[in-house]
Amino acid sequence: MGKITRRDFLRLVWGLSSTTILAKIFPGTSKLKSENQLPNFIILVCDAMTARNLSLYGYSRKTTPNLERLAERALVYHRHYSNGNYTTPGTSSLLTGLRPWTHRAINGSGIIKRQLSFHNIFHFLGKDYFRMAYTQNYWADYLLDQLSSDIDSLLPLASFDVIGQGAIDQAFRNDSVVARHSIERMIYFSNSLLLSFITSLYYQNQVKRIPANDHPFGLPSGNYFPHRYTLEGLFEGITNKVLEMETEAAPFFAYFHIFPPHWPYRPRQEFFDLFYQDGYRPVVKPEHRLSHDSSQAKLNAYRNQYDGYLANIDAEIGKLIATLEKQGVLDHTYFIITSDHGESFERGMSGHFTPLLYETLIRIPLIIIAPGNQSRKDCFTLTNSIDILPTILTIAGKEIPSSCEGSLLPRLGGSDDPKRSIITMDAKENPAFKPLKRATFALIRGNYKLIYYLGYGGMYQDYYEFYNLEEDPEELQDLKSMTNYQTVFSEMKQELLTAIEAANQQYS
Amino acid sequence: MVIGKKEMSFLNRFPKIQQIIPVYAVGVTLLYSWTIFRATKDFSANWSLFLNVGDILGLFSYMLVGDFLESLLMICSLLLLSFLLPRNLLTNKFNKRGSILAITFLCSIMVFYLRSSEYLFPNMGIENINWWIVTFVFIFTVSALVLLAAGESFQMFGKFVESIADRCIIFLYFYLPLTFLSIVAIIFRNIG
Repeated sequence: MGKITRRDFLRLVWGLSSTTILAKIFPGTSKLKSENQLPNFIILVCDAMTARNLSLYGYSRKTTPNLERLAERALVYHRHYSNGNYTTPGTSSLLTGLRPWTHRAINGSGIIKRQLSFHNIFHFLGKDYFRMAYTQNYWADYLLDQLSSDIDSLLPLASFDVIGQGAIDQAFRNDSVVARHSIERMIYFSNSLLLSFITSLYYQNQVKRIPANDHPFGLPSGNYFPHRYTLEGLFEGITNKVLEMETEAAPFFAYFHIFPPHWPYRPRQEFFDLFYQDGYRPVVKPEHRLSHDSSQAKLNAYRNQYDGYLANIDAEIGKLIATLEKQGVLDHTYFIITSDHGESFERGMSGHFTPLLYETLIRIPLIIIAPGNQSRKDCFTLTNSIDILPTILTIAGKEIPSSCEGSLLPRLGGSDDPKRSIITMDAKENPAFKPLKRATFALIRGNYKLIYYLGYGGMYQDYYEFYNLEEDPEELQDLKSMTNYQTVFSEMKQELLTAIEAANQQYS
Repeated sequence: MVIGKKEMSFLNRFPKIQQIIPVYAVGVTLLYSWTIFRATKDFSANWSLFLNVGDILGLFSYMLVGDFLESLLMICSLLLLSFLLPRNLLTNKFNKRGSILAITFLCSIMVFYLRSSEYLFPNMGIENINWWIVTFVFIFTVSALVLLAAGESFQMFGKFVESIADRCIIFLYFYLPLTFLSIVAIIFRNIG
């Protein structure tokens, strides 16, 4: 008889301990449990995918027919929020299970507070899993680099590109965060005169050689990095990687953070044509003083491109899931589709690099295909990105560290708590290790949402907005001065200020 | 060791070291100063928000080494040009003409960068690349020819360029030791 390894022992313990709970939730998991097999996890993060533009969540344009079909046997979270409004805080919260003011990755291209870099999903899952990660987003790659000692396989950024650089990125593995920040600024942001000049000419020339006739805006790419890829190639790469892990490295935990539908929005012609002239008229909202000042015509044009890109991605996700299903991977795999933040096409603001925290910027999808689940389960309780880490740990039979700031997701061991508060923030201009004095916060509780602008000067030096999301989902009517909302407004304001004060305490 | 006739005639096609140093100094001054100017902006807008002093010094180390490579690339290109062109065109007046070529080429790139946003790649949209290259080559060629002609026609201007190049040598005493320290720092940061 062979030696029983720690991994085998843990599989046995997990099989015995969690069989009863999960079998009650998903009867089909009995197959998984009978083999005492730890389930696999795949997280697919689609960068800048706002829930507000997905037909799955009620958007009138049919942007996600495949996700709707998949949802028929998935857990669909309708009120799921990112903890930040752009990549660095949103991704860090998802990976660490901590709020941005705790992990402190709050600045553009920032990193997780070094003392907390152990606090991540890869570390907590441990060696029982083969842990793989991949991202196309440079800023998310900085974070994964930081966590790389806990990751068994961190794929290079350009793994599935038609054209992409990668050699330089891989050259300084022991000093990757600093080296890559430097190289990024030298080459892509023209901090050098000659290197950036030569590199840009070289890549532009390379790109010119690739036929992109069926992509009216060119091949999908990074926003300022010389990557070019096709969605077909990207998803084929992901599929192959999953199938490879399925045969050679199970149980595995795979984190795929893809760049689409992030700007630049580059759908194939057939998908762009879907919405280009369909007569859709978005709700026109007043321009916000802290927005980029984009015209409504420009916002509408971007929205058309974005929606087409969403439909294109949706088609590829559909194909990916179909293949994994056919190969039997989903029989023992939790497949999680989510995003790191949303995207805005309103109030004069295009994109997401903004201090604003309206729904379109922070409400993101969360769809979980669980092994054995054959029916749709909708959840309308408030959830946020930091809930994913403890939920996965629980399913994997691991203990949840007490330092985690999220809760178990409802329908996966957690309960529906109507009194729960969700906090999202943006503080990209605030020094990471100083008290938060220039930031925006959103506190959501029940149907109410409080937005607090702090330190932006003028009227936004210390300013609140208050909305009833059930009656006013477009956030058009600020209720903070209405007498019948004063009690709940004051309570939520107090809750938020107390939380900020507590967060600031260790830095003051 | 005695240098043969063949080697002598090969070496004669290159300018003398006393002529090369001022031209190299012009390149070093422009390349390093540009990077430090841009990086200072990054420092105040971004790095100082979340990186510690050691990391920020590390960032500057990588950049200075990058600049050093660029400066070698620049001087080698000019030396190659002087090797290929007739001696009277560049080699014999390398100090003055090499400096003018280095200044016009690097300043043309600076003007382009300052006129565009900091993101290079989207601004050099693929549909515009030919137009972009033609414009750049035109601006560089015209400005270089005008300045080269001015350097020959107006003795004072020629002397002014040479004196600027000479004065740039002081930067070599500052930037090159910093580069050496940067190389050492990078080696230490990557040992592990």
